[in-house]
Order: sequence, then C-alpha cells, then structure tokens
Amino acid sequence: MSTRDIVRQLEAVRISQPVPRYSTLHVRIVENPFMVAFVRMAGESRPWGIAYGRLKDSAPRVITAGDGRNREAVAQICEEFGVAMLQYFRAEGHTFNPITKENLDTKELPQIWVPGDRHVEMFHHLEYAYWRVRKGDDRTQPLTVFARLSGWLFRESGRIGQQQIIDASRALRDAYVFPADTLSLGNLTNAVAWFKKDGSLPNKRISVRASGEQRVSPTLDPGLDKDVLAPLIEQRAELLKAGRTPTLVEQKIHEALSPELMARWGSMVDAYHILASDNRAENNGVEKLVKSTMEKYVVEFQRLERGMLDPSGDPIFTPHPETDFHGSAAAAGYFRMQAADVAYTASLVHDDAELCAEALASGHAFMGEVTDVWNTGVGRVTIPNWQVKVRIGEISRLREGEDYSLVGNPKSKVSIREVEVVDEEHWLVHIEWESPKLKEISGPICAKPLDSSWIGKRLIFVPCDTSALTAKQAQAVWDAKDGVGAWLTHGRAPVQVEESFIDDITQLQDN
Amino acid sequence: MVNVEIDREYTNLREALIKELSGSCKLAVIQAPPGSGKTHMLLAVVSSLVREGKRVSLAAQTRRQADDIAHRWARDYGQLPAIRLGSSGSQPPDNFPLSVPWITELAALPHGPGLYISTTAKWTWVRDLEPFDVLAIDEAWQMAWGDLMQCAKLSKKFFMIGDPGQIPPVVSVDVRRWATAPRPPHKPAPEVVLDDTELRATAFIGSLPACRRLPNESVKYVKPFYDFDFSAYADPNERFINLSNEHADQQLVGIINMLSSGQPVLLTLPTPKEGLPPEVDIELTLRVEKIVRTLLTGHSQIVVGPGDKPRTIKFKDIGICATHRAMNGELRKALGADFSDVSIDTPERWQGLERPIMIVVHPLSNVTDPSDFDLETGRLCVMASRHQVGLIVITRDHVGTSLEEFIPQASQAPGQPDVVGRGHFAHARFWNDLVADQRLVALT
Repeated sequence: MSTRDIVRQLEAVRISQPVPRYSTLHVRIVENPFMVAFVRMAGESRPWGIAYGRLKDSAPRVITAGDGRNREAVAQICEEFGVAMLQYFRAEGHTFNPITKENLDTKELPQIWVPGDRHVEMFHHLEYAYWRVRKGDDRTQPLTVFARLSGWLFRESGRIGQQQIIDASRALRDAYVFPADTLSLGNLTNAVAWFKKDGSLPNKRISVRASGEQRVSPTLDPGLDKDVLAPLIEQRAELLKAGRTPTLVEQKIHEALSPELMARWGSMVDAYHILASDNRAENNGVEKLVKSTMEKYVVEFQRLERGMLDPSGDPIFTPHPETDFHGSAAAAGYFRMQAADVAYTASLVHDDAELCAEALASGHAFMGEVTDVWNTGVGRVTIPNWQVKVRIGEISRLREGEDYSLVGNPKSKVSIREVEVVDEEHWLVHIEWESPKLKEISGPICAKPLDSSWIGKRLIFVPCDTSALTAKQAQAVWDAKDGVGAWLTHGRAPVQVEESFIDDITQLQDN
Repeated sequence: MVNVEIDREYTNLREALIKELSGSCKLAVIQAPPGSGKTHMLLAVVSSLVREGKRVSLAAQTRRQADDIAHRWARDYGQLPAIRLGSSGSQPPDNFPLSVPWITELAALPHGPGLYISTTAKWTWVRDLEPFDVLAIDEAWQMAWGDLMQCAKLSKKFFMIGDPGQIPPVVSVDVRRWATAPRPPHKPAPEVVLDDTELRATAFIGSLPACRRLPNESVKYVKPFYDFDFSAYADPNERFINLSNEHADQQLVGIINMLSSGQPVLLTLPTPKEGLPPEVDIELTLRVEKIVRTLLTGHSQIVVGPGDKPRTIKFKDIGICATHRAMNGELRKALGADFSDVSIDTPERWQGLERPIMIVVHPLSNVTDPSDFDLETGRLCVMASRHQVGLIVITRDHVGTSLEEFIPQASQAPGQPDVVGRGHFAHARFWNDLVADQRLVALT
C-alpha cells in the first residue's frame, strides 16, 4: 500500500465514509445497462437460477431450473438468457442491426453489470459448458453463440480499461477508498453498506458486518442449500420417479431461489446508483477506452460470428476456453493486453489531478521548471528544445531516451535527450519536442513550444502513450512466422496436459 | 570441486558449445549461477564463431548491458569486427570504444562476418535483414518468449545464456489466460524451452560450473534458489575484510568484522508495536547510513581477489539495495552528496552488477503477510548474490516468524509448478540457514 493510499484510507476512517480515489470516474456509466446475477448449486459450475434484464425494466426476469444438476433444464434457462444477451449485444445473426465497424457508435456501448468477480467467472463456466459442437452441428445455434460471447466477455474482463463488463464490487473499489480492509469489500453488500449516510464508525462497522451476511457469490449459502433446497430436490426426484409432474415442487424451488437472486440483483443496482450519482465527471480519456472496447468487440467477436454465418466461407477460428494453445495467438493476445495497460493510464492521466499526483509520487511522471528554450533545427526545420530543472524527489524514474507528454496534451511527445545532475536534489533535463513542433500546446499558457514565455513555468510531464507501438508487437509475432528461426519460436507445441501435470503430493514430497 | 576441475569443465563446455553451434545444433541453453562468467563465456564462444566467418547477432536486455558487451569485446577481441546497433537517432555514450562502430540505420549495417550487438527491444523491430548465423542472447532469463518470437527472422540458430535465479521479465498485466499455454508468452524464453520436452530434446543444454563472484562461504546460501548444482570458485578464507574504528559504534565494528568469515550477516531491528512503516523505514535507513559511515571512516582493509594486497575500503566498494524506490531515495538522502559514489538501486537494476560489500534491505522487512509477488525468489536471490567480500542483510525482526506462520496458497493453474510454495521455501531456507549458522545479530 502506498503512502497516498494510507492517507486516503485514514481520511475515509475519519469521516466514516468511503472517499473518492481519483478526481474523475474511469468507467462509463451507461444509462440503461444490461444486468445479471447468478446462483448455482454447491459443487456445480452451471447456474441454477438467473436474474437478468435492463436496469430500467420494472423488474428483472428471474428464471430457475428445477434441478441445478440437470443439464437439460439448465441449458434451457441459459438459452433463454443467452438469446436476450445476444440481442442486447447486437450480435451478428441475432439482431437486425448488428454492431459493425461502419455503424460503431460509442454512445451505444453495450455494457453488462454483474455483482462480483465470481459472477464474471460464471461466463467462463458457461463458455466451457456450451462452446463445443460436434462436427456437422450448427455452430450458429443460440446457445453456442452465447457460449462464445461469454468467452469473449470473460477474456475481456481481464483487460485493463475495458468498458463492456462491469464487476460492480470492483468498480466501487476502483472508484473509492473505504475505511475497511480490501478482503471484506469483495462482498458487494459490505461495500454498498459503507455508503449509508448515518452512523459513527463503530456503528457502521456493525451494520456493514450484518449486511455482509448476505452472500453475493453465485454459490448458495450451504444452510439454504441443505435445509431448504435439498429436501425439495429429493421430492422432485421422487415425483419424477413415480411418473408425476413436479410442477408444484419446482415452483417452491423457484420461490426459494428468487430472493437469493433478487438480493444479489439489489446490491448490484445499489452499486450502479452510487456510481451514477457520483458528482465526479467522467474522465475525458474514457471515450477513447470505450471506442477501443467496441472496436475490439467488432474485430474479435462480431467479425468471427459473421464468418460463422457464411456457409461458403473458410473455417472460423474459435478461441479455446482454457488458453491459447497456438503460440502466436498467445503472444499476440499478451501484447494486446500490454498495449491496453499502457493506453489506460496514458488516456486518463491528462484529465485527473489525483491520478497525475499518483504518477508523480511513484516516479512515473516528473515536474519541473522550464529554464531555457531553444531551436536545434537547421534552415526551415524547427526542433524545439527545453531545459527543465527537476527536483528529483525520492523516486524519479527519469531515463535518457524515454518519451513523455506534457500533461493536458495527450498527443504531445517529448524525448529526454540528457539528464544532468546539478546537485543531490536537482537535475537539469534536456528535452526535445517531437510533436507538436509548431502548433500551440496548452498548459499554464497557450503557446508554441519554441515560445520563450514557457521559461519559468512549472510543468508536469507524464508517460507518453506508446500503446500503438506495443500493439504492433502483436502483429510482429504473426509476421515472424516465416522467419528462419520459426522452427523454434513458431513450431507447434505438444499438448500433453497429462504428462506435464504435477500433482500436489509430488510437489509436497519434492519440497 | 577444485579450481582445476572447474576450469577444465568451463573449457570443455566452451569447446562443446563452439563445436555444436558451428555444426548442426540449432539451439543451446546454458544456465549460469550468479557471477559465473557467463558474458565471458558468451563472448569467447561468439568470438570463435566470428573467426570462422560467421555473422552473429547478440541481444542484450538493456542498453547499458549492450554497451558493456561492446566495451568487453573491444578490450578482449578488438581485432575482430563488431557493430553496435543503436536506436534511431541515438549517439554513443561517452568513452564508447572506437573499434565498435555505432550504427543506427539498418541500411548502413555491413554484410560481413562479425558481431552485431543490440538490445532485444531493437532486434524485435528489425525487418528485412539478411538472417544471421546465430542469435546469441545474454541474460536470456530476462527475455520473454513473446519477445523471442519476434526475433524469428533474425537467425536459425539460438544460443541462450543467463541466470535462472534472476528476476523474470516484468509482467504488468493479467496473464492467467496463458498460465497453461504450452508456450506462455510472458515466461522467460529459456524456461519455455526447458519446459518443452520436444525442444529440450533438440537443444544442447549445459550449466556453468561455479560461482566466481561470491566468497566461498557465501555460496551455500544462494544455492537453494537454483535447480542445478554449482561450486564456489573462490577458496575458503580467500576474501578478507578488517576494520578498526575506535570512534564508531563498537557493535557495528564487530558486525563488519564478522564479514571476514565470508558468510552474510543478518541484522535485525525490533518490529514496531504500532506496525510496520508502509514504504520508507526511516530507522532502518539511519542504521544503513551508520554502517556505511563506519565502513568508510575507520581504518579498513579489504582483499577482493586472490593475490590482491589489502587496501582501504572506498566509496565505490559499497552497494546498497532495497526493493522500494522510495526507500532507496530515502537512503540516498540520508547518505547525502558526500557518499554519491555509493551505488543505491533496486534489485532489478542491480542485476549483472557487483560490489565488494553489499548492504541490502530484506525484501520482506516491511511485509508481514507476503503476497505472491513478495515471495518471488528473484529479488532476494539478486540481493544475496552481488557481493564479492561481504553481505549485510538488514531487516525488521518479524521476518522469521512471519515466514514460519505464513501458509502459502497454491494459486497456480493445474499442472503448473508451485512457484509461491517454492518461493516461501527458498525465503525460509535463506533466513533459517543464517540463524542456524549464528549470523543473526539483533541491533541495539
């Protein structure tokens, strides 16, 4: 935990309330998002019940299976939910106006909310359950397409800055610092309870603890599972054995599961309203993140689905739920993930004073006073150069050759040419302007880089957005597949999970 | 193993590598303990290949390492051609050897035999170049598999050499998706090769026989970080430090003289009842400062290598390492401008470097509930293996108990090795061995 985090948390304790983590919101709060909460039987990966719908619907639709272990019954509810999701996401083949590269509009971002990370993982389980089709089967049947969409959402959930799947618990923790430990905040009801206005810190702690008794994870409370639902399941099985229709028992199961689903749904809606009513503005950089989210959705999901719909087309690649067994796919995905990481902070830092202060404190950004401005261009070429006197602080990461942007000017780029140590506390940093060279830049004044009015101004420089370069590495991996050394780097790897499996006992014995 | 045997093994390995890489072998992976002469081995093999008329590209992991290799090449093999390929628009640093031309444009690269030195980052962007005969990779455990993939057009043959105990490539994103991938892009390139049975079968695999940097008596504390065996090259009692300083704290003088045995010393400060400081431990900083002043202001004698005459300890003999940049900043502030020649940095930046005396802040000093990141062994391994004569580890005294009470959770994906458990084991072993050998001193 950094010193800044501790200071924020002490402030949260002082006022017995969560305090904003940053100056702006880093997530788009869509006006009427799609929401879902799951419950499942202990020991099962598939859902037993689902509550889903749009935020502004009068009530969510709650669907349950008679028995959470019955694959047919569970598949039925998943298919119903899946079709609704495919329509909301305007998936190819499931709507009259699918999202495409041509009609992409960031105001129409499809966004799904879930109560917590275990609900995000449910999409992984759903992908595993329904992604596989036998040869000759229709790969465009709704449940299979839904499985692929679930897989896409699960993979996307791990990409920093994505705006399509919102884990409500995580969104609150990202936006606020709580007067509590992080572990307890994993339960969304705990996090939401901290926002209730009244009460001293001890009283609030008691009420938060009481709220935390409501489970938010999809797995049901073992007591409910054992004492209420297990006898009903048994009754249902006996009725079926006797050749009778268990409608009444299934209704009772539905009635037992509904409050559980609604409790999870309610916490998620509360979390949404907390964020939607936050006074902070959406960070200017979020628009860029939304755009890249939708572009990825079009390229990595919609494009493949369109291919699936074309019976005359080539076979379409479907990512495996577990991992990328293809080396190039794995490396390209990894570099795209890295690019997203770089783009995230670079997009947001220009419009968030607190994030900027954090970058300064961690040494990723630097602040200094311009002491000289000159031109090294020859003839009609202009190459503005600045000398900046920097107080290095404790943890500067300044290195020659690295690129920065002037804060507030995300497209600007300066390169560190030389760092000269003046004394133990100050460095003289020689920077060269790469972009813009002639246009005005904004800061305490609006002037061209070569304008001597910059002298004496204290400015902040933040890491440059190099995500485009990192993203190019993804393509470079594919491009290198015909290289003379590809026998090593791009060869087909043997997939023998059993042989490489190291069981726990062997590992313990080895130690 | 005696030094004659070590030298013979080293020579045999070098000859075998030259033979293999000159012949049909397409992949060689050499594991090296810390300070075992891996760059020396790399350049010896590469120089033989260049003499045979081969074009060899060399990938270093940082610009500083690439420049250092150029210096060593100029010093040891100056008559053989070499090029330093720098980033676009860059200039050679001061005192860069003239015998190694600094080229920034690919079109200006010659086509003849020789060594072509650059960084991995630069090589990954190189396109449309006539393939080299061999791509030699220094500090190969710091190169991610994904980066190697981009170098596939560079060469058909690969020669990787590095220290598997060092800090793996930095991973700043969620990589769970590739935890079970057959070729995980974020893992060190040699590790991917060694984990793959088919690639292993095609590779020439070896290890350097001995650690030359550390005093004989220090080597046993570093061995648990490695999966292969190695010896100490230094003879017992070969290195030496002696200090007398009647104006200084006599407990510190005694502690410094304990280093004469070649074994590290573990210094502890009481853990504050009110909890550990988050990033910067001021009290610990002041103790480090006091140790440095004691070392440099008394009457000292140090012997670093065999046959060396005893000499006085200098500023440049001392290195300091802490994992947090803020802590390093505070240490720099505490020492002030007079001690600017004492190097202070993070373990990441200490990799590949050495000093006669190292003072390190234990990576768990301000951590009572270590995370997977804290238990990664690379940082401690680097910190424990930079010294040529003496190592002082300073920490809050909870570490032993914290490690004992900590129960590591196996968070790895199915089928994957238990890295966290291994890290916990190596940390505990390092601590317990020092305690068992009575190297722990509680500071008063």
